[in-house]
Order: sequence, then structure tokens, then C-alpha cells
Amino acid sequence: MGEAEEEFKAVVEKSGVPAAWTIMGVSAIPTSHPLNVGMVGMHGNYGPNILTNECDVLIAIGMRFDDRVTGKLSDYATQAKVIHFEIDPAEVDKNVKTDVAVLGNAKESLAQILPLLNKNTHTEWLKKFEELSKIEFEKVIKNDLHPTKEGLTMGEVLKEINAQSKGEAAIVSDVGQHQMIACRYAEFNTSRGNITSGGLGTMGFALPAAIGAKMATPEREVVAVIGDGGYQMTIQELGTIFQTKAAVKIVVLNNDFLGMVRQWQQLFFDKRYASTVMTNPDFVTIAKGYQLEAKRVTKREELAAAVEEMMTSKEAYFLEVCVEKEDNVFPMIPSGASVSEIRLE
Amino acid sequence: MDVQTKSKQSYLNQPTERISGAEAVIRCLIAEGADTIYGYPGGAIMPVYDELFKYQDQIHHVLTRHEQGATHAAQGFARISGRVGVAIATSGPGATNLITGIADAQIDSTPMVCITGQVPSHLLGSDAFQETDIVGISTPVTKWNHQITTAEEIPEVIAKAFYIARSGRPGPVLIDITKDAQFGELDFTYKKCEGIRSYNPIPKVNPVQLSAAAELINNAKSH
Repeated sequence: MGEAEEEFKAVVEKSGVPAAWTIMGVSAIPTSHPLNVGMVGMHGNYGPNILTNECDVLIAIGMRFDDRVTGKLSDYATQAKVIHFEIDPAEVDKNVKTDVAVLGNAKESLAQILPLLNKNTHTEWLKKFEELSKIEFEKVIKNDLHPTKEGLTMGEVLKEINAQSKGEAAIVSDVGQHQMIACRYAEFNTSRGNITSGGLGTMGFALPAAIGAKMATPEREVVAVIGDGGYQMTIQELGTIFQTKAAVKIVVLNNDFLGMVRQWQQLFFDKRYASTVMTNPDFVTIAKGYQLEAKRVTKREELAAAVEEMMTSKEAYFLEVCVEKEDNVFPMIPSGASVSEIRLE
Repeated sequence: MDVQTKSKQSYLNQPTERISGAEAVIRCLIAEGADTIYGYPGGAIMPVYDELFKYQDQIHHVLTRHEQGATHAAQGFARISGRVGVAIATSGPGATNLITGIADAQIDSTPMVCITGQVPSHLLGSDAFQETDIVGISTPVTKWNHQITTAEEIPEVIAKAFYIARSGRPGPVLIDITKDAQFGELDFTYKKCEGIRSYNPIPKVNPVQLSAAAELINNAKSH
């Protein structure tokens, strides 16, 4: 956000406007902030997506109305007055018609608008987000984070990472179902905490990106969360970790599938799993071949201790977690649908 | 008669040092604050790597296992710190292996400078060993790119590269340097780029727009 985190927080707190984020903006405001109402987009939270099509004013800051966020454009925030804070004039009115464009560096424009804003609260409006959040918790989040079935979920792994990280670690995710889970559930207190390939969605991004992130800020814990598919696209970078001894923590959430594509094949192609079944090698042996501390978890009772061991290690650590093979990520806005048509199952 | 600005005059009057193009590349990177760079050597970029070796106490080069890994590492470096990530590779397949990471940096607005080696300039267009038209290939996915064929161009082009990568809406820049430019010599002095004519990276905040926005926000329904 162009280093505008403090200015942004001040504007949100003074105006009382609920703040939602895209995966590229997630840690700009702490996860626990009372006005942080969650993620927008195809696998975002229920409330922000539904209420985008009910709001009076939509304020977009440094975001480009990407199609994964807007869904069907003809049915996106058409009732709202749109304000677009943006540094690149080419983005204004590119996808969404703006009512007021505030061009410039967000750090400056947000600082300059602050004195013009009235101190306000929108408690009734916020309640609507809370009510929708409760529905989402019952139908989706509870099962992701506190599952009762035997198989491990990706969500509960993130929950354990949060418990250890306390919002300080940087989470570097690859591309796919695990990426959506990581963006939805990772907790952030510090900015620049979420590093992922958003626009291009490049599988194989996370492992090398985590190396660069750790070297840039060695004092910060860096955890790469990767699927079994993306991991194998750039797995040779384990050699870079081995050679440089970068203390990167690597978590591979292994469901033996190209999960996100498999989910679409289940929902839209009658479960014809064409080329999404992955026959995977022994990842722990491979990591050990690179002389990394490595462990595999297959049962819930092993998880917390393994994550703690990983996070307290002062060296690079590889953790494979075998998760439920055919879990799906919800909520979901089907491709081409309106944000109001977001599905909970 | 050539009329120069005072700034350009003082730049031209600075003391210079006669060094190779390859050494100039390293000195430029150091001047831009690049203390950690990612890359993979090869024939067309060897003179630069030779200088990297000599300057290893000032600039840390990380050998990745694939050039794509170098670009993603540079991206991770840039995203967590806000600094410009740097990746270097050789010509041909080394350069083309950077493209995915460059395209990724472009669409996510990540500041990154990629330097590629290129065949000697007298071989350009001859389908030489490990030759590709990387400037042509990377044009749609870079904020800016440029091919350097003489050592003299190096300081100003690299200064521009870093400036463009980090200014306004950040993005990736690719600089392709022919091997003879790396071996060639120049009278080196370095000046950071502070502006490029007709490039306006940060629009000025308009008070009329601000007031209009504030009014909308203040008068929004309070359900």
C-alpha cells in the first residue's frame, strides 16, 4: 500500500468505515482490528462480498478491481458511489466506473483527507458484517478450523501456525486451495506479512520467495505454506536453502491432488478428475537429502507439537502435513457470477 | 553549442575512474543499495560474475537452482522489505527462464531489476549460441527494458532501471547487456536517476477530488 498503513488506519478509525482486503492487501491492517471485516473475492469472507452490493459508498485504496474480486462486473457495487484512491491513472475507470478518483500516493492522499472526515461510527452497518460472519462461521469456518472428522484440514494447520507466530510471522503461500486458506486464516499484526502470487497465480512461487523474504528480514519468522503440486515446480530451490542455510520454515499441505483444479472438476465437471491426481514422492526423505530437519504429520494429535518444533527451530525446517484429500474451499463465488451469489457450500 | 543543465554539468565534471563495463554494473548495484542479489551464471554474463567475485564482501550473490527461483526470491525480498529485488542471469535460456517471475512482478507491481547477459553485439541477430531476443520477449511484461551494447551506457541505464522499478506504481525492469559491453571500458561515475522527462510516476493529490471524496464518505448512510 505504498507504506500508508498508519494513514489508512487513522482514516478507518476516524470515519468508522469497515475495512475489507484483497489477498494483496491482507496485512495492511492487523487481523484483530475491530474494523477489519475480512477478505473480498472469489474465496473471501461472506460478509464483505455480500455487503459490497448493499453499501452506499465503496472506497477502493490501491486496488485494481481484479476479476477474482469483482465477479460479474455488471453486478458489482452498481448501487454504490465509488471512490478510487489510486497512483496509476490507467487503473481508474478501467474495470469499475468511479464517482470520485483521488489520484496520488495513498500515503499523501489518505493523510490529506483525514482532517476533512467527520468522526463517525457505523455500528448498525458493522452489525450486518458480524451477522453474516456468524453464518459463515457455522457453515464453513468452524469445519475448517475446528474439524471433528478424522482427516486433517488445511485450516487447522494455519490455526497452529498462528498460535506459534502470534501474528508476527510472514506467510509466503504458493497457489491453490492452500493459498486461499492461508490468506483467509493467517493472523497478521505486522504489515507486509502476506507474500503470495496474486495476479498471475504462479505455482512454485512460494519456496524461492520465502528464501528472499527471510534474507531481506532475517529477524522475522518466514513460513512458506505450499501445496504438493506447486512445491514440485521449484523443489530444486531446497538446494539454495541448503547452501545458504536460510532459516525458512516450509509447510507442505499434501492432499495428493492439484486441489483447486480438482475442486472445480468436482463442482463443474462432474468429478472427472482429469490429470489432477498427483502420485507424490516421499517429501520428507527429499528434504533430508538436502540435510533439512524434516517431519511428516498424518494425525491430529501430532500436529501442534510438530508445528511448535518447527516454529521454535533456529534453522530451516520442513513439515509435511497430510490433509483430507477432497476438501473444498468455501465460500466461493463461481466464475462469472455476481459477488452476491457467493456460495457457502 | 550544447546547452547543459547545471546538474548535468556537475555530473560530467565529476572525477571518473577507468573501469570495465562489468565492474561498472557491480558498482551501480552497490550504489543503489543492492546488498543481496539472486542469480545463475553462464557464458554471456561471466564478466559480471567475475566482478561479483571480487566485490563479494560488499554485495552478496545467492546462487539459486533455476533462474525462475532467482526471480521469485527477488520478489519475496522486495515484497517483505519494499526494496528493489535484483535477479541476474545469462543469455538465451537463462534469460527466458526469468520471464515467469517478471510477468508475476508486473501484475503484482513488485519492484525488481533483472540483468541478463547477451551475446557480443557483432553476433546479434545471427542465431548465436544462447542468443534470444529477450528485449522483444520481455517487452509486454516489463515496466521498462533496454539493451546495452556499449560500456558507456551502463551507469545511466542502470540508474534509470532502479528509478523506474521503484517509482510510482512499482514494476519489473529488464536490462540486457552484451558481452562486449561488459568487457569494454568506460570512465565511470555514478549519479542516481531523479526523474525522466515525461514520466510522471506520482500524480499530485487534487484538493477538489479530496473534498468530493470526503463529502461522500461523511454523508454515507449510517444504516
